[in-house]
Amino acid sequence: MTDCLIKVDNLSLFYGAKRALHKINMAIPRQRVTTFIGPSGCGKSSLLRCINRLNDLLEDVKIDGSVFIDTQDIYARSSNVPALRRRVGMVFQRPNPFPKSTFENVAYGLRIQGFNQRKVLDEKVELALRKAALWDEVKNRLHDNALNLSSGQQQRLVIARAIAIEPEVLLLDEPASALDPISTLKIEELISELRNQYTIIIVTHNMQQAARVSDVTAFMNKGELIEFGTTSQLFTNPSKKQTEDYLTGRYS
Amino acid sequence: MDVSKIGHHISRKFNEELEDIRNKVMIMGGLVENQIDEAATALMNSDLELAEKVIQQDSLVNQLEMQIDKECTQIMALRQPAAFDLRLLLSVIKTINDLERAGDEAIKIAEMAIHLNGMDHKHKGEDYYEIQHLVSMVKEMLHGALDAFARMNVDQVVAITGQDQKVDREYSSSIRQLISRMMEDPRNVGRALDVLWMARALERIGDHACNICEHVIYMVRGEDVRHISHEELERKIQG
Repeated sequence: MTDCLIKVDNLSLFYGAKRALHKINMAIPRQRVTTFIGPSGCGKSSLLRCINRLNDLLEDVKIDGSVFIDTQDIYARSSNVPALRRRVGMVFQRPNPFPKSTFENVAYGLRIQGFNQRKVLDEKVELALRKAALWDEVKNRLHDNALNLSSGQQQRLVIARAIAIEPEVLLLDEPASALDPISTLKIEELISELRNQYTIIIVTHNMQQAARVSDVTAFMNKGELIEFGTTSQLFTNPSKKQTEDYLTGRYS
Repeated sequence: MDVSKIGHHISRKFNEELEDIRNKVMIMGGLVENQIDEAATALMNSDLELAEKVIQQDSLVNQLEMQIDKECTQIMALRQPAAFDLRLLLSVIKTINDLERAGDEAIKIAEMAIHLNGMDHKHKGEDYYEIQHLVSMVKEMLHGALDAFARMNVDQVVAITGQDQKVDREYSSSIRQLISRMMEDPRNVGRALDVLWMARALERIGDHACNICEHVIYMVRGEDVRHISHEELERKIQG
């Protein structure tokens, strides 16, 4: 396995009295695709949201343990959360473009970062849309309302918006579950294109998708990390019985 | 891997499909075992009718091979199996290939029985004492390999692959004896060559039984044990 970018260290998460994650330890490799799989309620989305401290926004959440990105403990008091979220972009299950033009959706984060020169914005927006494999489809209607795009295009736009500000990490929470098969394949193709530039973490219920797109897979159950290893190994010869039972659809 | 695991899928239909494939492999294995047995009997007893039956049975074996292949392909396309299920299907596809080829070797022996019956000087069953021992050894090996497949148990595999080394030694020793006999008297050449071809066919059946054992190990343990020495295999199984 290549070197690790994100280190999850003894991480537990509680929603009130309910424990959603239990002492998770995991080393997520740099510039690789990692997927979290597991049954509903196993804690995979909760874990994903810990990586850019999105759970902070929820009430009654308690987190023990740490998450390190490189050497920075993102849960340290000194941690700068907006800076963290610039470094760690996120895309959700349902495409959520702003009710603005395609161009403005991608330019939005850039403007906040202080890029206001038209020429620079044009270049960065085009680059992000190209990286998201959307440029050719929208280049002649950049200033149309983004909500007029198809769901698949909207999801790629949201990915373009996330990568425009050049994060190191992309968190994708069920990025293709609301899309048709063709749009899903486009998103998967896009993930393959982006894997050499970003560290990508995906939560998915679609095991075949996990097998197709990821280098490393984590199987979680009931808030615990059951197995973590290369996708090829985990899908052909898992070492834990629970993983085997889940992958093959057997009663445990 | 516990055999009963096959039946614990959430999808009952998936259970049935896998169980059906496994049953068909066992039926195919039974047919091939029968072919080998009958081919040897046909040879020993100069039984033309039985030899013909062995040859005819081949189409049944071939049909089963194609049918099982097709069903495996369908499951792969429709269910995208993973982990043990994937290894089971891959092992089945390889096992039926080995079974079909073992059946082809039995046919060679049956054809030889017919060929020898047509010759002026007919041989008696006891003329083939060299291969009688080989027949019983490879039959035992194939039976053991199919048993390991059915039980999903690798405990007996080392004994079966160990038997293959004995078969190989027996085969080499037969060749040496046959060459000596050919050198002693050129009139022995025809018979010696016939026996040699049959010994070769039996030795190949032993190899196919060993291959099936390797597929069973892959299915049960997920380990690829092809192209390693018997000693290494033994270490892996016991380790």
